[in-house]
Amino acid sequence: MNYKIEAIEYYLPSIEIDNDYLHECCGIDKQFMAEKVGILKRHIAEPNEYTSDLAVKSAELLFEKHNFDRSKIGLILLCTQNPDYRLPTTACLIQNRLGLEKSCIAFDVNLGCSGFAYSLEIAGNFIRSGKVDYALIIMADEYSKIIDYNDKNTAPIFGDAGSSILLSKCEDSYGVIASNFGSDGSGWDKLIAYNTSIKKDADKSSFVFMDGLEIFKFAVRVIPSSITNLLQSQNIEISNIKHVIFHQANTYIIKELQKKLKLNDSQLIIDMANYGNTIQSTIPIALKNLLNKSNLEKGDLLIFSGYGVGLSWGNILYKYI
Amino acid sequence: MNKEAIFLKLKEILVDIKGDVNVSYDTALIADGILDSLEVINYLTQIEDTYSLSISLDQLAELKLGIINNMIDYIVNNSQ
Repeated sequence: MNYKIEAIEYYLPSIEIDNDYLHECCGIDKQFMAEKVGILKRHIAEPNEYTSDLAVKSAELLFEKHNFDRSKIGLILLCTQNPDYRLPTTACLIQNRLGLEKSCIAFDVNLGCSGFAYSLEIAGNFIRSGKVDYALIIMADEYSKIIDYNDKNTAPIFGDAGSSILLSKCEDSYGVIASNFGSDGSGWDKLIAYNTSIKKDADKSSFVFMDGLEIFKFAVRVIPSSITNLLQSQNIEISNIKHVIFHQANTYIIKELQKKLKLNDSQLIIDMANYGNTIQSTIPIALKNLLNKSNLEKGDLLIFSGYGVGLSWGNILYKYI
Repeated sequence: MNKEAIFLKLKEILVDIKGDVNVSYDTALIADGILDSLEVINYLTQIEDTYSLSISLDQLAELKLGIINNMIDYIVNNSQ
C-alpha cells in the first residue's frame, strides 16, 4: 500500500504588500524584485491572525470544496516554525477547532522550507503502515510577525499562507514512490530568528536573519546532486520528469537549479509572483495551481524539492494518480 | 598560478551568468553595474567551487574583489 495526495487547498491572508510599498519602506528596487527575484506581492496575516487561523482556514476550505467527511481524518500534522504557543502543540488546537475525532493523531513538525517534503513522508508512512486511512498535513507559517520590514534582505521575500493537503491510500506503484532527505546543521545560523524561544542572545536581533550568499551556495551545491541521486535510485532520467516544483525561494535560484539539472522550461514550475516565499506552502500552492490548470495524466512523474532553514532538504518523486 | 588562465576562467563564469560580456582586468563588476546582487552571489559561488576557496561578502567589499584584477590576485594568494 502506498499514499497519494488526495486534495490540496490554500488560504492567503487578506493584507497584501506590493513592491511599491516595500520600495517606500525599505528601498527595494522594484524592477529587480519583479524580474530577478520574481515577486510582485505577498500576503500578510492580520495582527490578530495566527498560525492556527491560517491552518484552520485552509483546512475548512479543503473540507468544503471537496465535500470531505472530516471524521475520517486519522492524523493531523502541522508544519510550522511559528506556533501559536510554545506549548501546547498547535496541532492539538487545530484538532479541537476543526472538530476532529479524539482518536486523531496530532503533532507539530518544526521545519521551514523543506517541511512539505518531510511532512508528506512522515504522515504518509502512517498510511503505508495501515495506522490511518486519511492524513491531513497542514503547512502554515507567519514569518511576517518576526520580520523587520526595514530589512530589504528579508522583508520583500517572505509571505504568509496556510495550505492543507489531504493524503489517502493508493496502489503501490503510484503516489510517493521515492524520497531522499538531508540536513547540514553547520548552517544553523544562516537563516535564523534569535531570541524567539528559550535561548537568549543579548547581542542579536530577534527578527529573522538570512545570509543570502550562504543559502544560495547551499541550494546550488546540494539540491542538484540530491535530485540526481534520487532519480538514479529509481533508474529514471531527468527527461522523464513531467514537472519539477522546487521550493519557491526566488526565481534566480530556481533558474540556476534548472540550469544545473538541465531541465527544459516546460518541466520547470515557477509560481511565486503573487505570494512570495511562503515557506512550507510554496510547493503545495504551486502544485494546487498546476493541478487547476494542467491536464496531468495518470503516471506523470513529478518532483517536489524543498530546501532551506536548518539547513535541511527533502526531495519527493511522485507518480500522479 | 597563471593570471591569464584565471582571467579566462573568470570570463567563462561571467558568460555563464550574463551571456556575452566584455570585460578587462580593470573591470569593476559591481561598481560598473555589470553584476546585480544575485549575480554577484552566483559569481562568488562559482569561484569558490572552481578554486576551493572561501569568499565572504565582507571580503568582497573590503578587498574590492569586484574588480577583476583584485579577484585574480585573491585567487592566486588563497586557492588550495
